[in-house]
Amino acid sequence: MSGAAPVGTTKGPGETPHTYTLVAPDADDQLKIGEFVAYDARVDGELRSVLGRIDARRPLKLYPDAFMADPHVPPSRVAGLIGFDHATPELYEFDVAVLGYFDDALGFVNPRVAPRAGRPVYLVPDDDLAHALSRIPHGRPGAAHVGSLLTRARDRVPITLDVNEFASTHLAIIAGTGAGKSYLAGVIVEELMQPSVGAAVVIVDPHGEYGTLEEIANHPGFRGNGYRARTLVVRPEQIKIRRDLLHPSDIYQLVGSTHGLSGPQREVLRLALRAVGIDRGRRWTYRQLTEAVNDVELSGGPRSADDEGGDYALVKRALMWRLNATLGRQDGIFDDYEHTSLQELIRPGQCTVVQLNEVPREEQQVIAATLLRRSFDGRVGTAKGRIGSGEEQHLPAPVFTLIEEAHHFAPAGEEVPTTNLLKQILAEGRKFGFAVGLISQRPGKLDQDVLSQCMTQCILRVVNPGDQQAIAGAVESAGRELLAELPALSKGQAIVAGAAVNTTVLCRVRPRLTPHGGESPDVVDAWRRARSQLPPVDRSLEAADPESARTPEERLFGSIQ
Amino acid sequence: MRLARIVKSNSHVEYVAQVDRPGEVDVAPEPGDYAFGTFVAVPRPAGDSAVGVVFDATLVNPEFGALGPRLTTSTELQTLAPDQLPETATLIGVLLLGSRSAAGEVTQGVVAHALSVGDAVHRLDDAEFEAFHGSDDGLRAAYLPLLLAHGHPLTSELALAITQRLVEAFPAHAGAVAVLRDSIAWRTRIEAAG
Repeated sequence: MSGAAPVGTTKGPGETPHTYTLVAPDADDQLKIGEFVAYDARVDGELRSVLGRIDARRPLKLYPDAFMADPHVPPSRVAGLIGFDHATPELYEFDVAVLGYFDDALGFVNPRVAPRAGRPVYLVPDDDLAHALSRIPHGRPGAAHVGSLLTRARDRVPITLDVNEFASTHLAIIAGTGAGKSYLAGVIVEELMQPSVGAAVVIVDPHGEYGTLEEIANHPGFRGNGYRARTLVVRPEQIKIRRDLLHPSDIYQLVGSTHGLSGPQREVLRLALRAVGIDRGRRWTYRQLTEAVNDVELSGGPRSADDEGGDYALVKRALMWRLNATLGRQDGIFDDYEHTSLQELIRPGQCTVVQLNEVPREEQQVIAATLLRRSFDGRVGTAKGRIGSGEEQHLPAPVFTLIEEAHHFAPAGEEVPTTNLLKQILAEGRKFGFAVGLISQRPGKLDQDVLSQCMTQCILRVVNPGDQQAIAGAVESAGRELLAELPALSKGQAIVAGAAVNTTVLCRVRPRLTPHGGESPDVVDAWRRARSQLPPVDRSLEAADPESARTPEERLFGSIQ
Repeated sequence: MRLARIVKSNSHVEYVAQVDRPGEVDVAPEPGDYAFGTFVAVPRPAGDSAVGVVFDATLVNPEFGALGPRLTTSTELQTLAPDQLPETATLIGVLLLGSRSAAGEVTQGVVAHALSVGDAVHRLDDAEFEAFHGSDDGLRAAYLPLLLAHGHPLTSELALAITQRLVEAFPAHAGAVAVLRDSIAWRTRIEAAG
């Protein structure tokens, strides 16, 4: 099948039915972990090239340790001295996971039989590999070009994600701090905003890292055939959420965020919300809610000993204090009348960055929950014909929402307003064209059900063992052997697995077209600039003040007599 | 310098030579000439030479154990029968390590042709020793694995003696040889004692 020169020889079946071992000298260090090799085999009477991925590498024959006693003398020199002049003395054994032969219609088809010993094995040619790894070829509509195969030279084997797949069955981007997760997310957003895709993208951005995506609107790469990508960066002060559109659970979460809600407070709030008609979809104002709180009448139940005013006056006062500090804040994002329009935020060909920096986490969760709930309801309602084109929630096109710091919005072992909503979207979103991309640097703190329902995973360097374990538990499609590579990945290198690719691949993320906004700050430079802006020290005052002649230690502890 | 003549073989590469005695050659060798680790050459009629190393020495004395009554002493016997040669001999073990063609081309390892009884054994001088080990890479001692695999109790010590001599003769390659020497020393001295 292939005219490529063999690089090794099959040794026999591996430890599992879908692996085999390969022996090769690998003089040119071509057989890296994650590299793709193939052997030719007759399957059902037809000669096929059976592809496999190298998952492990072990030395079979190495120079003796004693030959490495002198760092100035290479062991090959010692071996040459005693007449061993082989150019490739080392020999390695490789574990290869069989992917199968590639069929355009079926994808990889496993021949279900290990190769016989002694079969020549060759590197899969670049073009064949590009064809087999990516579901949609680079450059075709619906292919999100995220980078190139890490084991080959840059750009030799482009890696693309199938947009149709990850924009319906959800995406997870997982990486430790500084590994490049927001950079990769930016690359994916760039691909979604290409003229051939023109997606409706919303980014929930708790750190304000994605503001640089504004450049998309000015970049020539995002125009064509009458299309021009739009970007909308919504800053915290520009976000307005109408109070009566909040879900009761959002209000409980928000009001109880600072000091929690006691049982009586929660009950008073529940009755007040019912009184303003939250369960009947009625419009209400904050003033009406506070009046409803005062008007609540409780019968029976525990009453505080010092509740002199009766009717739980203390409970109501404490609840009012909490309401005023959260939902009722005049400078906050909640308003009785203003509401950021859903149709303004979500449009095909538009990337909306909802910046939530400087917003307390509880408010971030409520904003995200409100945004997700209303947009998901809008998609469901539009898809089912319940919401017409003139209505505010009418969303005729599929929506892809990227959520940065996803572990804050679906934390493990804790329920926040977004948790159940995300679970519902992950379970049902596919039917209605509503997908999410979850980005997290702490997969161990992310709800495992949520993570495991993201069918495409981009995993960058993760060093924390707990996070690695969480990934291994939730990401079934990436082989455990490849996941062992997680701590060894460099910045901008990712394991891409799941539904949007034909098989798990090690990927080198491509350069961004727009500037990256999530780079680590230059702290030293910031200090230097801050120092230069300080007023000059008046040395004459120092000379007049004997205290200034003392060292800091002397000032603290006094001079030693 | 001629040292001895081949009298016996124990294998294709291991030979026994009898050291020339006074009267047999013009200048008989001194014990220092055929010391342990001395490199020797055995010329063959075709013009090439087998190259080996002295790895053992044995003394032969027929009188050892002949402690019965005698008619004369050994001193009187030299006077009464001066043509009777003394029957003591020194035998040296020679392990072949390679060959040298008539043109000086060196091959290290097992020698293809066997030696013959009576072949003369000559000592290699320092220049010949260096020529035998010189190569395009500067230094070569490809016979060392063969030597170490020989199995004689003294071969490890012989390898150490040779590598030490190579360190001194080829200072530019002392590092590589020293690594090898130290490896052999560790295995034969430290590990053997441990």
